[in-house]
Amino acid sequence: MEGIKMGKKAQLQMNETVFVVFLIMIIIFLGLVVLSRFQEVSILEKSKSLRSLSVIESTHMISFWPELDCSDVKVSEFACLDIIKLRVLGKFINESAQSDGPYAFNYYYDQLKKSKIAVREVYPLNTSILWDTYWVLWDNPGTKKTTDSIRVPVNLFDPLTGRYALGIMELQIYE
Amino acid sequence: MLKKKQLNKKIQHKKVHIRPTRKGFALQFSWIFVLIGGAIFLGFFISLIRNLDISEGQQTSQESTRELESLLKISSAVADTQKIVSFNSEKEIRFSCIDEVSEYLIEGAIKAARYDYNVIFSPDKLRDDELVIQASVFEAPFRVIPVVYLTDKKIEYVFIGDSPLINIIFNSMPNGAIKKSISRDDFIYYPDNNYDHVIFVLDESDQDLLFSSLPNFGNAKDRVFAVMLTTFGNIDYGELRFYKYDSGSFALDGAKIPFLETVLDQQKSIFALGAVISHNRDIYECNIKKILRKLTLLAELHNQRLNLYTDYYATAPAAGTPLDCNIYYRGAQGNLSMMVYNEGPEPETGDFMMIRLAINNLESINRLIMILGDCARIY
Repeated sequence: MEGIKMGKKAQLQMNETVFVVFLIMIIIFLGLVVLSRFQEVSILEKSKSLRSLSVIESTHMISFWPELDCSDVKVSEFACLDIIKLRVLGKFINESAQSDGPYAFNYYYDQLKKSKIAVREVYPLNTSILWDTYWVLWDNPGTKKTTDSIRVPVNLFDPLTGRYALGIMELQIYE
Repeated sequence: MLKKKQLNKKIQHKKVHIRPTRKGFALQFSWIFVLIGGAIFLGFFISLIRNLDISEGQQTSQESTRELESLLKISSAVADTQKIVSFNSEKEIRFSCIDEVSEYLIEGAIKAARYDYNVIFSPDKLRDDELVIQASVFEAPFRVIPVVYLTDKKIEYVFIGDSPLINIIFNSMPNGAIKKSISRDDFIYYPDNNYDHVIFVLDESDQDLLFSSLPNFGNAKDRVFAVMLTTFGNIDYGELRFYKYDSGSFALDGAKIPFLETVLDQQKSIFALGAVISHNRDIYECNIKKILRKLTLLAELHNQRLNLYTDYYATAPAAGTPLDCNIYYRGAQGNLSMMVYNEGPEPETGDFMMIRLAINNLESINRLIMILGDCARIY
């Protein structure tokens, strides 16, 4: 009789232990949830800073592209784009994406990925004899905008007239 | 009677023992349960810490990959720069560049970084925590593509002789790189300075040296390499041969492959320097193909641009000498068409000779246009 009583007590103790273990597991689970939330926030912060860095890198890179720069016999000027080159390159990329071999499109896709890059002449307007004031260099939109549209001032040079203008390069990165 | 009493006593004694045994069993079970639970918890935490440690290592390697990616991207944007970068990862970086796929993998990283369209001349393996980076631009004669050279301070480059091209390559080497110039007489007894790689650079006139053994190099397998340059009167283009030292002599590694220099007048080498820095035929070949593809693309862009110029000068009322301008542009377009690289098994020396000729012509036409002053420059 006494032995049975002790067994019930042990059962009670076991229940108590299971309850404590269960409680500890819940606490650990909650801890992990909180930790993952913190990590998620830090990962999002990091990816945001990486995206911003990538935009800056892209801008820097584009302004030095041999395809666009207004190189004056091996002297390249900072953030200076040749508007004839802009016109030719924009057209060339669009055409190669549709018909040409994959190299040209793949080449630029590797550097620009899912983004939109456009250049707008701001001041003075219509300096170009070709009357273009807005050039879409790359338009490959993704599903979601990951950064705000970033605007960078650039010099625009018309090699046919030798005139300079102020322009804005707009960059939009997509996911 | 006595026996019965003794038996009862024994039973009584046993009963006394049974009671604490049941209690003890319950207590023991509880302890076993706690022990198992504790072990599970401990195992869980150990695995958690282990996983965290592994992921931390992977994250560090991935961050290093990203850091190197940015570094190379920025280097390729700014030409004619040199820098020595303390790269804290202290991990091995493996480069591979085969056909269309170029990538580098930092030890411990999950994912390799691709650079299929960037020209990076590097050895197949870098280990030092100090990376030496140099950026240049390949010009033909317009700017074509940025070229990045990457090496470390555990690689020694030894230049044999003082021929003009050897001197230019020596002077084009990044400042932080370990380089030495020796005479052909010093070659055989050149000391083993315990560098990870030793690369001997020589021209064809010293080819006989490659048949001799290096007594000071005890363990030379996969450590000692040679790059031999052959020119044909003009040092602007020629052929390269890559060698690996093994079992007492140098063995040819793959077939000969051409090189092209376009800025020797600036005392700079682009292709041959890339061959020396990488001392790896696959990496060299893969990178020159990238340069040639980009040259083809830019030649096409310049051609389209010159079409616009031609249209403009044919109709522009203000243009002074429209006919003259268009003659020059058509001449330039003819030379641009000679720069088109047709994808084949391997580039040939003859192709490079034609490209060199086209570059010279284009330079002359552009110079004439500049002298005329009325037409827009080609580049």
